[in-house]
Amino acid sequence: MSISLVRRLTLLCILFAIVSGFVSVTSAQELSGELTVYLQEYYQPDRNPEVSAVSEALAQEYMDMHPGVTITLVPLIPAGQDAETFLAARMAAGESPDIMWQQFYSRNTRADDWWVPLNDILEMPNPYIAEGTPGSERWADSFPDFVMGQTRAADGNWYQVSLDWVETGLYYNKDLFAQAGVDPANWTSWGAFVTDMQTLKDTTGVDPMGMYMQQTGWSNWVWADDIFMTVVWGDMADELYMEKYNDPSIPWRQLNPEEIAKAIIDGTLNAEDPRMDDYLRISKEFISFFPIDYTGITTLDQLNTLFFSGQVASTWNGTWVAKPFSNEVPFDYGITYLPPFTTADAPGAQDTAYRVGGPSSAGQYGIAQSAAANGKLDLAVDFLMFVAAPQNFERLVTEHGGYIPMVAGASAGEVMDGFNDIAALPERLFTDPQGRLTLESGDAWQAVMQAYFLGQADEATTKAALQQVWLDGAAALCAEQGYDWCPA
Amino acid sequence: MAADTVQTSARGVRASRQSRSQLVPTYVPYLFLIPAFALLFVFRYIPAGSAIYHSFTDWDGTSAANFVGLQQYQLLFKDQVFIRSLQNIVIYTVIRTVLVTVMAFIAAELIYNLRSMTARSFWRILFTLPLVIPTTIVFLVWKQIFAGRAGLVNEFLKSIGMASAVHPWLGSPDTALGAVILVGFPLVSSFGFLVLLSALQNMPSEVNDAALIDGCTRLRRIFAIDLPAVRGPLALVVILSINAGLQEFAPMLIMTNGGPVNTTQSPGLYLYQSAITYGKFGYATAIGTVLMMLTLTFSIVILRARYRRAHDVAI
Repeated sequence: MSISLVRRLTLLCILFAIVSGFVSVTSAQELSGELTVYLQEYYQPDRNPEVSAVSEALAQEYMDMHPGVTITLVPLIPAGQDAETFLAARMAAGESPDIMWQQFYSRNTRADDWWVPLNDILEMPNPYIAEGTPGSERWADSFPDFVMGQTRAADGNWYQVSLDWVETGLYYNKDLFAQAGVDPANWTSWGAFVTDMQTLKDTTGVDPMGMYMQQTGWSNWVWADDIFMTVVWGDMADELYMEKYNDPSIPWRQLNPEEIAKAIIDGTLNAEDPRMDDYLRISKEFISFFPIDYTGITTLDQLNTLFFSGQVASTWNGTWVAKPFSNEVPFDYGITYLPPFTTADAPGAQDTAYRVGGPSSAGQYGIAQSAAANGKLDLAVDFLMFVAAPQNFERLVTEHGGYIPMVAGASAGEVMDGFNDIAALPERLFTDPQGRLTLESGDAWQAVMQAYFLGQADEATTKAALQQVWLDGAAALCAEQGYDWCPA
Repeated sequence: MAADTVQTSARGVRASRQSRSQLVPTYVPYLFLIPAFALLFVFRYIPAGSAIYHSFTDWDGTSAANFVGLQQYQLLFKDQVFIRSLQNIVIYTVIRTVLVTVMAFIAAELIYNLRSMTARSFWRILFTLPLVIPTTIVFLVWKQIFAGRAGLVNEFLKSIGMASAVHPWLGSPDTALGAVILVGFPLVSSFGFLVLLSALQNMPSEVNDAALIDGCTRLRRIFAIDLPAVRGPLALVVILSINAGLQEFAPMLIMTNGGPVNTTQSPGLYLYQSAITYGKFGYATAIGTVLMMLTLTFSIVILRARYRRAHDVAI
């Protein structure tokens, strides 16, 4: 009787194992339906047919593995206003591409109104990653911690996977620098940098820095702002970090929106602090090397034209232009970076510069809520895991040549040539203004700084206005997120 | 005999109308209006009504909208960016309307006064051709014209020895709005030009001939005869120009993005940014509703002014 029971139980277990195995196999094979996917720069048939062919090949391979699935790739729409308009209209209509790109800080502002939280999905194994490789048991393990840290939303969720990364640097005209006798290797402090830039301007008559600044939205000025803020507040990092986000193995990291908001409300971060005098001074010194209409320029492409024609001596740009620049720049150019900042430049400085690298790249993908509502979540997750597998994503990133893969096991190719020293610098404490608290707060910060640069506000007025922007932004974030430490 | 003919003719017309009304019921023409009205209703009236409704909500474009009463309007009239945008657009619209109307009228008069029909056609085509260029291209070209480095205006100033006058036209708060207003200068190529030229050409030639015989100079004729004669089309041109001006956002979006320091910010652009960038659709629809009311008010005022003392020449 007891033997029979054991037999029965054994048989039942075997049967259960077979059935569950069958179910899992069939569920993997039974994926079907139509999926629209927007891979941003990895799919632009008109402008980059080579990388687009790789995307098409990946989609085809997936469809061959899953005969019931149809993948439609959506061609690139220029990033910025165009892409945001496209997305906002489709989200309002519930017709967004199922897998979609968006800048991480914009995406985190929309949060679960638009996007599926991926926390649980990131805990699942990625079946397309080879066994024993990070990510095969827990998908999140295939991404570096600093990437996960920077892309976490203010509500604590992850709404995207960041498969790649960008580094930035100063592409400079070696001929013009030589003509002025300026060698970036001699930039040992901000003071030395300022002297050299002035020499360059006086000797060559060209603007030393190809930079621009908009009152709303992104411009490459925001990178300088991130660095200057980090320089003056760097020594306070430990006081700004919140305990719950600390990891002993990462003593220096970027602040997230919650930490910034809390520090503002606590009074630790205060724009009327004397530290901000150094911030304003350094910012204004930097602005003096920009083209005269830096507030009238609206795109990086305009700066490229000035750089190519020798009208600016350098331009601050990302790894994504490394490949096109190597074909298009008509003179000898190099890649350098801002100097280390010393305590003589600002008391809070830590004798280093800070890298402006980040997840603002082509491989930032989230799953639209409309995909989940239409029953496509499993398919979208599976395809995203397929693309994110190192052997697949490496093909895309290598062909593109402008982004650094952030998937364990995928090699970076030649994209890091000239950027290795920059990538070795500590990361910035502050991200772009739009990502610090809210999008609106970031734009308001820029508008105040623009008024200061254009002589419409003095230092005291500017500091007061910046503090108000911070307080408003922190209050807005508190109202949105309802953190337990927020004042009633 | 003549009276008989008139009576016969009148009877004939009545009979014809009667027979037509027997063949085609009177409501039939209205049926043909239904498709047009349906489209108008779906694509114009419903969105406008929906916008007004949503201006009383906190709609974010995707989630359910909560009714918040007049809250969006209260915020709007405290918002310094919106107030600044209203000031900018009034300046932009007034100056641009005056410039466009005056230049269009001058251009129309110049062509109207040409004796050679070939020359008239040539100049009319020349002035009309730029209308077919997409406006985005026009704005991009003008952006380059006003560019700080290698811009046409600054290069011209340098070439005539006025390097000290080189200026960031779009990057300076003092000149950015002025530069945007002057886009398309000399502003003769416009819809207004076509309307006014057509109105002048439709004037009976006898009127002008009589004035010339009476010794009226061309300049006097323009002010005493032509201007009053085209008062109707002129009002149309002004209304259309004001409507377009108040709603303007493309040149600001493409050339300056509303900057620097909001000196070229317009309500239309602010509406767009509020909805698309910040996801504040409720707030954006409140801006749109205010803009609609403003446009409506301007149009009514101008139409009333146009008819109050109208002594149109029947043409």
